[in-house]
Amino acid sequence: MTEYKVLSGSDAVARGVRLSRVGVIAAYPITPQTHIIERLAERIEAGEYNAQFIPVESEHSAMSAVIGASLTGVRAFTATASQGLLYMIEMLYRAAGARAPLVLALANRTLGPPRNIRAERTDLMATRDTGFLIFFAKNNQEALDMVIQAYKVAENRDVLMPALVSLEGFILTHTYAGVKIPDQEIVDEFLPPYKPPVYLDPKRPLTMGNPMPPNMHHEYRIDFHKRLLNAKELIKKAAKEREKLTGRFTGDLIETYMLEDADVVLVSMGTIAEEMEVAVDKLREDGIKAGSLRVRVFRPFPEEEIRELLAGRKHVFVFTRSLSPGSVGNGGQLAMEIKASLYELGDDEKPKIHDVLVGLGGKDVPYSDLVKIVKGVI
Amino acid sequence: MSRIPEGIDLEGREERKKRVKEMFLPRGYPSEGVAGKTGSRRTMKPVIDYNKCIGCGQCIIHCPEGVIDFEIRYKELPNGRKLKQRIPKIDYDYCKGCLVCVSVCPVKAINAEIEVK
Amino acid sequence: MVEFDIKPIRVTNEELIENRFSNILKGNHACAGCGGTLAMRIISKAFGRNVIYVIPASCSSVRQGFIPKSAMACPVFNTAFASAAAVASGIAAALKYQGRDDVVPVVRAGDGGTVDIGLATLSGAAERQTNMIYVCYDNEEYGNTGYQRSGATPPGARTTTTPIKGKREFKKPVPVLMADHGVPYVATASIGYVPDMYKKAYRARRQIKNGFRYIHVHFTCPPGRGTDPRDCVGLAKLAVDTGLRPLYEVINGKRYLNGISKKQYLEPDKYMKPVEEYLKYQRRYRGYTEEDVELLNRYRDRYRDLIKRHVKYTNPELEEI
Ligand SMILES: Cc1ncc(C[n+]2csc(CCOP(=O)(O)OP(=O)(O)O)c2C)c(N)n1
Ligand code: SF4
Ligand code: SF4
Ligand code: SF4
Ligand SMILES: [Mg+2]
Repeated sequence: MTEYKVLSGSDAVARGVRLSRVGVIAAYPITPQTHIIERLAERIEAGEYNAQFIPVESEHSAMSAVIGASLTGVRAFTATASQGLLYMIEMLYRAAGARAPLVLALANRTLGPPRNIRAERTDLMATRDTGFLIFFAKNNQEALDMVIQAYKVAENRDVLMPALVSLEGFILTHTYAGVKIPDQEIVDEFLPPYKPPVYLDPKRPLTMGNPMPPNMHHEYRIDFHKRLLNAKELIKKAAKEREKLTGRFTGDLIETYMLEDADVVLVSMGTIAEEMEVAVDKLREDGIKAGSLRVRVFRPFPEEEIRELLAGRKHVFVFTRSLSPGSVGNGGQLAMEIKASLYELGDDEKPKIHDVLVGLGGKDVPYSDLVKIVKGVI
Repeated sequence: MSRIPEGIDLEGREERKKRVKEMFLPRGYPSEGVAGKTGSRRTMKPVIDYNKCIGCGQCIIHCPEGVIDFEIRYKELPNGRKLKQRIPKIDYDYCKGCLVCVSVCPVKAINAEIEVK
Repeated sequence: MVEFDIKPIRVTNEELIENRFSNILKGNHACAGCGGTLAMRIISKAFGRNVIYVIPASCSSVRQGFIPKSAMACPVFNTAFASAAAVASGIAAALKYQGRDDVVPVVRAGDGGTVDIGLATLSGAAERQTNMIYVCYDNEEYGNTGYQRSGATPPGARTTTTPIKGKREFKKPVPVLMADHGVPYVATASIGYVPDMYKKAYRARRQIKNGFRYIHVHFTCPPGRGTDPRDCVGLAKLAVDTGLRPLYEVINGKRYLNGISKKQYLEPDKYMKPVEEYLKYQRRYRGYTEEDVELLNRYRDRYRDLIKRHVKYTNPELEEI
């Protein structure tokens, strides 16, 4: 029997971690991530959950500790936000380079100054090039499911890369919603115990991360990129497998709404996608053939899938809640990647792309704004 | 002495190495001579004078590289007892010629010679 | 605090000679006469096989050589400069979770990675009483990047970032700081006294089986000091004999001075060699001035006071075990 509960986004992530039977958790507090780690620490201290919690002295150390645990052969987890993420970023590259399949939950928050604790996703964008698998949740249910799926894919021996699950601070972390909690047995069947091919063991000594000659290193980096791209198939496979177990299909690379016959497509990630769906309904009421596309997995980026789905549309509105100042267009990173994905289309198939920045600094993004923006253009 | 320590699980080592290679994991396996035969870059060479050597082992302890191994020999004494003797042996393939051994030898039994190649 | 049985350890030369075990294999990339290789080799004999090494950026990350090979004969994770003690914390937690309590994580960090960039991480791991051993290999400079000044560089020394006047500040007293964390074991060691170093490593691994253990090993780096490689051991010994690098252990809060350092403490005039004897062999002190000597003497006295304060506080008799 699947349990049905009202949980905050933070609770949902913590539940996902417990269901995944994570063995080592290391974290340092920062708003709005705090509830995630508080829940876990509490369960561990109460003796209800068998894991080790390390109250480290910084985020840099949090990531360091989970890398150590993961390479020793134990499933490991950490969570952070904003400034904390930037403080640990050196270790993100190391986690990926050393091929430690841990999971990091990121509660998005604006980077200061000016000081602001509300959700913006520029923090996430700092991890684009790290080599992490990047998942972006739209609601509490997905936050829970994604943690489990992230381990499944990250630990696959053809991948062995760390994963990041992003959820917007406050909008999800501090908001309660109904969540279906899968049975432990089902999760156990979906996600067997973590068994890395090699790990730190005095009986089988090996050195991790010593120097590599440049020629080999070049190949290593190219191979890394290919493996990350190949993970796309594994993500889809994991979603299918889960469907068999739970009867719900969640976990593809992208999610679409009313896209089939749409001329106008709204594109975004995370919670904005829920507003987009309402906006699509409103636009349809007014006779505009709208649809929406949500990027659920940002790395590996679903380039071909997006190209196929957006070919031949008239307008594509990309709503981005992050900014790369001084870069191309309006500076929205998601728009840049979409544009790049569509470059190969012929002129007759290429839609007009609108790079729209929304909700920076945690400003609300109601569906009415989206409708207004679309109508202002067409 | 530096050699791959006993007791490590060599079984399946090649298999594991293959797996690591297939997965392209950045892992290195214990090997002697990762920098090649380091002895070839030596400019000075320590040479033990076995007539002077008392087998005290100071050079074996202090050689940074751990390239001085030893043999045990038993010398028959006139009274019939056997005396245990340690004969130090330098592995010139890997000796870097730092001459720490020369400086720690209490009886000056190691001579520093110019390396001729 | 954990109580344990402390028994004196006698180390014979036999033991040091006949124990052929070493974690660092020959034919590695270290410079000729690197005291760090010597220290690693001796300490690995005392630690035995059941260790997992964590090595932050330092000379030691280079000496291992290139993938797919490695000069290290034990499991090693090479990590970022500031992260070593935290990685070891994660490994310790993982080992506990797996129930592998015969294995212990060991950090092998340079002085830069310990007293400068990694200090917060080190302090955090000590405060959490993590079950691990941290060994700082102190060559008193950033060796790997070309001998720049570090927080552990002693006063008066010329480095590539203090090339003309030499460093004017004192060396950070990190072993004292670590003792103040209330960890069960802190020791200073030197490659000038190999049996003593072995003994301390042995104690940290075999006698004190739990908690955070810290060993600070002083060694000479010939290219950094501008010394003849063959003097590597002799110079380290002089550093102790001139009182600049006292050897001591803090076991469960009690401080014990070892060997010559104890004698120096009780009768400085008799046993303390003048610092000039140590300086004259090193290019980093070339043309040292009166002022440099005065600075070093002041540094030596201050360090003695630091220890004294501790000794008075914990163990007035200064007994040695
Ligand atoms: C974050 C960071 N900053 C700087 C460096 C460059 N770096 C590598 S090793 C090193 C010096 C290491 O000094 P120390 O810890 O004393 O070790 P040693 O090389 O002397 O053994 C520096 C500055 C780095 N790798 N990472
Ligand atoms: S010269 Fe150096 S490396 Fe060679 S045997 Fe002597 S101490 Fe060892
Ligand atoms: S130190 Fe000198 S006397 Fe002692 S074993 Fe070596 S060569 Fe012989
Ligand atoms: S630079 Fe110094 S510490 Fe580094 S390997 Fe060479 S001798 Fe050793
Ligand atoms: Mg150094």
